[in-house]
Amino acid sequence: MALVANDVHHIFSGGEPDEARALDGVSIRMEEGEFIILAGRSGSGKSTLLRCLSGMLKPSKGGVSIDAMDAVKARKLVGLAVQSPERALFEKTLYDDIAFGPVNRGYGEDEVRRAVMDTIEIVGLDETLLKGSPRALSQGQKRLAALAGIIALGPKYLFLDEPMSGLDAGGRRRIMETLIRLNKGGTTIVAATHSVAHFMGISSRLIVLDSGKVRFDGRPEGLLALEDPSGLALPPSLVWAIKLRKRGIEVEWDAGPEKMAELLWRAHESFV
Amino acid sequence: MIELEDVFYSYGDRPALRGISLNVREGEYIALVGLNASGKSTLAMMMDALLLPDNGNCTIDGINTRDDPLFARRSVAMVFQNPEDQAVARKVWDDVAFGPRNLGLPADAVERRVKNALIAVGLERHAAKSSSALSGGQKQLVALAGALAMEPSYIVLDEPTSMLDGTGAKAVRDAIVSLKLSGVGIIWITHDMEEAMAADRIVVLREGEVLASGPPDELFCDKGLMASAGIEAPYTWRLSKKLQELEANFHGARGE
Repeated sequence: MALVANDVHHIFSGGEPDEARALDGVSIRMEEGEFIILAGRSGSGKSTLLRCLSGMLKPSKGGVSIDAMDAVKARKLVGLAVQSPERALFEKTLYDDIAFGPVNRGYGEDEVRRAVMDTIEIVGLDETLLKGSPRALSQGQKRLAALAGIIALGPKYLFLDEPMSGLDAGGRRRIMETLIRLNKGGTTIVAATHSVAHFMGISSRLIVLDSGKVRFDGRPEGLLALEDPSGLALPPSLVWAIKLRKRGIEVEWDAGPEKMAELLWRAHESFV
Repeated sequence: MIELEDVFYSYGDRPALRGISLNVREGEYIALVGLNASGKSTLAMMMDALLLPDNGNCTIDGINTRDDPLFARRSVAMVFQNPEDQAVARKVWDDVAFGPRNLGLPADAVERRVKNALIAVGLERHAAKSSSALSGGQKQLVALAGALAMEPSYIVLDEPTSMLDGTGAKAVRDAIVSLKLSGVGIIWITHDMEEAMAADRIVVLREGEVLASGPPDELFCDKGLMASAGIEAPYTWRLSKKLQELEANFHGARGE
């Protein structure tokens, strides 16, 4: 089974003076179990594409199918974590917040409990937090709690919009561990980000959007060959690796600063 | 100068700031770093008088925020992490003009300020657009323009680039550098040490206290401190240290 976007176009405020073409003919096929980074500068169409892929927004033209169903009808297979999803935590206790979706889907009491307990294990939140208010959690925990509410419904495809923004290194690591765990369990993950740095090394596929079109689709290391990767907030090691490559020196994208300095120094010596 | 003197603040029975003392001069660029929940955002809201100390004092150019919170809000502009929290009007121009109009400025002064602010963030072509047609990153630049249009003495930025791409983040950083040069005091809250490296001084918070304060180079060299603060010296700094070492060895070998 797979997710297929076929020639997807989307225009906001069509015919108005502030008409904005967000997507301009995107065709992608995502296989079950992939972990995909959707990158691109601000305004490149990432968030709009996520909404179309997850069936939350019907494209102006073209179509999206999930497991051979129209995306809008396949919403039960999909979870979408919008930017800063913790802003939607609203219940009195963390338990009720995570249980909200399962309860609304009509799960029985035992099923709800199981869904909540399984989910907090996946996201790595301590059971003792369940009785407390979600508002008392740290920023990183709130992000995990909001994700838990989405994961509790067991989506086959999970879409995330900037899941790392505003988190410190520890918070980012916990989100990353959660996503890796979910992906290993078979969930297809698509994470939109302008900061490729956080995902390099764990994702097998990178799709770069530019002005609503797919500009790159391949293994993340393929970024090394991009002519102008500006606007992608790349890790510094990759930025230097690209510069060295332009001088004919090959180095892996994640080389440490000491090794990178040695290579830069040698390149400099051979130059002077 | 912004002066915090032994400031305490708690949310109910949860302490957020525990005796913070800190000064920020006009024209100084400070990076405020620390783990989530170390008190960074609470401290930012103190400076803008959105919160008042439970104990201790916060003064802006000699005026206590308790005595005149409006003075603090006029002097200290805030830019938050999420631009969605900051939009007040439908059109970009009106959004940026909101602050200056509230100050009761004449129309030509409002126009000049809005124009300059939009140019500073590179959004002058988008003035007539509806904010909803902008990307998240562009919305953040509108929020920054709104803060600039207030012509503040100090500006507090709470992770303003975390939702921006490389180009947008650079536009914000460039705008901040020129603000600093024009004498505005900058307090930049960040998790990104590459970003913090550009500051005159880094202030490290931990559990509501100032753990350390000093020039970036000094702090990054202190491995014990970095470990206890839970932060890592940035890649670019480590790279430049290694290059300096290689250069010194090279000159040493040549007997210079």
